[in-house]
Amino acid sequence: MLNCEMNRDGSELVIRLEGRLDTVTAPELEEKMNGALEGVESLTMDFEKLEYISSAGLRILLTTQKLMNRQGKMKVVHVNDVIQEIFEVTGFVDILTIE
Amino acid sequence: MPKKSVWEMNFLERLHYSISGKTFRAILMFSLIISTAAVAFGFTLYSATVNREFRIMTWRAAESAAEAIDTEEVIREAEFVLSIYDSLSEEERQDPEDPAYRSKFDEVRTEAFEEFRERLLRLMNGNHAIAAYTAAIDEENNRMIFLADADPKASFCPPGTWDPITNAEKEAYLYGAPPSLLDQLYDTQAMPAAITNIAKYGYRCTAGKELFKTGRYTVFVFFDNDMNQVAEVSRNFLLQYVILLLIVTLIVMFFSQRQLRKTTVDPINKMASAAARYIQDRKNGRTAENYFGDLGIHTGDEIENLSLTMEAMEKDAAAYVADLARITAEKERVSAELTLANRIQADMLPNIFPAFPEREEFDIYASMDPAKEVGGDFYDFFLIDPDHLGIVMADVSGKGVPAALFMMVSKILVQNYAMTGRTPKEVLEKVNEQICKNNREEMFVTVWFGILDLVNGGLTAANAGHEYPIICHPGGKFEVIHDRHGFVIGGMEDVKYRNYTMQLEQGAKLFLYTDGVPESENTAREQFGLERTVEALNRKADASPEEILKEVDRSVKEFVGDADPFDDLTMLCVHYIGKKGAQMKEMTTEASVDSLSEVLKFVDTELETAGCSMKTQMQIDVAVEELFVNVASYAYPNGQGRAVIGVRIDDDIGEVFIRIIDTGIPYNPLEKADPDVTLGAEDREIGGLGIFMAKKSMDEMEYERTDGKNIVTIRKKIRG
Repeated sequence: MLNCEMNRDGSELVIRLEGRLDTVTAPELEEKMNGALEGVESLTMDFEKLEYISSAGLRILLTTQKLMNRQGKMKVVHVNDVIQEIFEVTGFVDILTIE
Repeated sequence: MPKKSVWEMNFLERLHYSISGKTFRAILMFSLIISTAAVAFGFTLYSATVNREFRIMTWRAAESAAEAIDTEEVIREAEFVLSIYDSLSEEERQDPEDPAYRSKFDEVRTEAFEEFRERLLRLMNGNHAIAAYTAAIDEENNRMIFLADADPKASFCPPGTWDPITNAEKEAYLYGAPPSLLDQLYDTQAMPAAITNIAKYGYRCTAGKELFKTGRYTVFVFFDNDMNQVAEVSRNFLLQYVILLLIVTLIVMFFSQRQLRKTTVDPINKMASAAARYIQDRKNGRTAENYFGDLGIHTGDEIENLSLTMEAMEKDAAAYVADLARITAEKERVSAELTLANRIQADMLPNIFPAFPEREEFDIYASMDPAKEVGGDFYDFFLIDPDHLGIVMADVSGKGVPAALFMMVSKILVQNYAMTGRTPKEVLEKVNEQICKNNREEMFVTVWFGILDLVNGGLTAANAGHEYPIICHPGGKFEVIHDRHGFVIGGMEDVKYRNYTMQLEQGAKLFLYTDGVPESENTAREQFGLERTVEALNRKADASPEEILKEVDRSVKEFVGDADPFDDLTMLCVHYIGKKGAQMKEMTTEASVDSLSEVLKFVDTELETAGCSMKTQMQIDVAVEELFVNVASYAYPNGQGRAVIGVRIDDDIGEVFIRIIDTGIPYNPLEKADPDVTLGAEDREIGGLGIFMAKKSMDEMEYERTDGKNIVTIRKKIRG
């Protein structure tokens, strides 16, 4: 289960994720984000209510990060302990901007 | 033969059965027969002699009287008497005692007649006879008619009276009596004499001398001699004779008994008592020598011979006993050494039960009952590490000391290689390699070797030509597992073995044995067989390993009965109990990403029940997801397959154990190279990240390919 709330404000986009970002939900998110990132220069991923992320989720983050590297900047906020640990283990802490 | 010995008999029995008794009776019988014959012959001879002497004496007296008497006077008297006798009718003559008859002859008794009588009396007295008379024999009527009787006493027979005579008497007087055997011997002529014993005159001898014949009458002069004294003398003779014979018999018997005792009975008794002493001493454990040498038997006959033989026999027996004692001592020494070897062998095997009292996950019991003093069977079990139990069951070819030595080597090799962490297949291959290097005796050993994972009940085993294991799954019955047999160890170099795995659920039992169990034979040469073994196991399927083994042992022994034990009885039983309260929960699902939520929900439910922290639960979820997605993506390239997910909470160690099984193509996700996590975003590849995450977040992760299954297991501490 994953709820996704997107707030566009000009070239700024905030995506709030709630629930689990796993192999099942990752394709849904990927579809929603397709095109939504056009013209976005500042992307904020709010993980406050995200409980869980698996490698499928990491793959989206990596793809998104690569895209945003070309057209602006991206940050991830409100990361919980579990996900933080995953980011650390996988070296994503060095790739993402986590605030 | 009597049942008791001569010494135990009373007097009467001894008289009946002893040699002296038997000889005594034989001599007595012999003496009686001889004596009776001697008495009969002697007495007959004596009587015949006496009779003959009397007849001769009486006849001589009659002959001499015939010379002395006046024949003319006799003729006159005879004619006178016989004329009166003839004149009377037969009726008148009938009773010679009748006074009327007698009176008819009174006129014969003239003076001359009386004178004649007196002369005859003198002759009678001169010859010591008891009667002298003249008489005429009436041949026709067998009568002796008296003429003149010298007898002055009342027994006087008046003239004219008559006595009846027998034909034999008549023949004897007229023609002479037939000569007796003795007469013929002495060539004595026939004598007109007869011995009579009639009531009227008593026992006497009568002899007559014929004087003349007149008509049908022949006139004789007769003399009688008394035979009564002869009878008396005969009786005395007989009595003395018998007494003498008795005395002689007794003396003979006395001396013969003494001689017999000296030469036969005493030597035999000496030998018999020497033999009895010999037996008695041997029974009481005393040893003396020369029981038969000092008897001093010098009879020079068969008895001395027997005594010499006994002496030689005693010496032979003594030598034999000494030999036997030496051999027995030697045997005892060997037997003591074998017993010691047996103990060393038994001590080599784990034989203190319970073997692992501190371990609750399993119970094990084993027993070895060698048919001979030392055998070649062995069992073994040992902890390779705290979670793995090595189990060995083996049977060395042959028996006795060689088998025992070979067994020791095999046992040590198996354990040593097992402890290095090799799988059963590798262990057996290594052991085979070592044994084949130095196996000139061409001995071999069959081995079943298994490693039981005490945590999850997984059993990995390899079989080098050993009997099939028998397994009882929880709630079920014991069943023979027809596992794959490799070649025996020691038979050939470079033999390959195969591992196989089996899952022991909690409560399962594994029974191992050597061929001594199914091949035990009863007296009818029937084998106990696997079927009876399984029956015996199932009688006690719910009991402890110890009770199960005792039941099998009891059944085999009951079946075998009095037959010789064929082979060693070696058995082992493991009861896999598993972790207390740690029951594995499983779910089976399509190996597809669509099932992921279901899988995670199943795992989460278990973790929540165990009180797992949210953080840990998330970590575990990640690992499960990554592994399951991996299976769903790669295991079944040609379609759909299934996956089995098991979760077990090991409360006592605060750990969760999760197992994911698929039957797809072999694929070890752990082999995949770890991604380089230091690279920047542009250089990053996303593949391999999931497994890497799982590896990093879990305490332990393992992969195993068995029986066409990919098995991945993970462990994670969920508490302290």
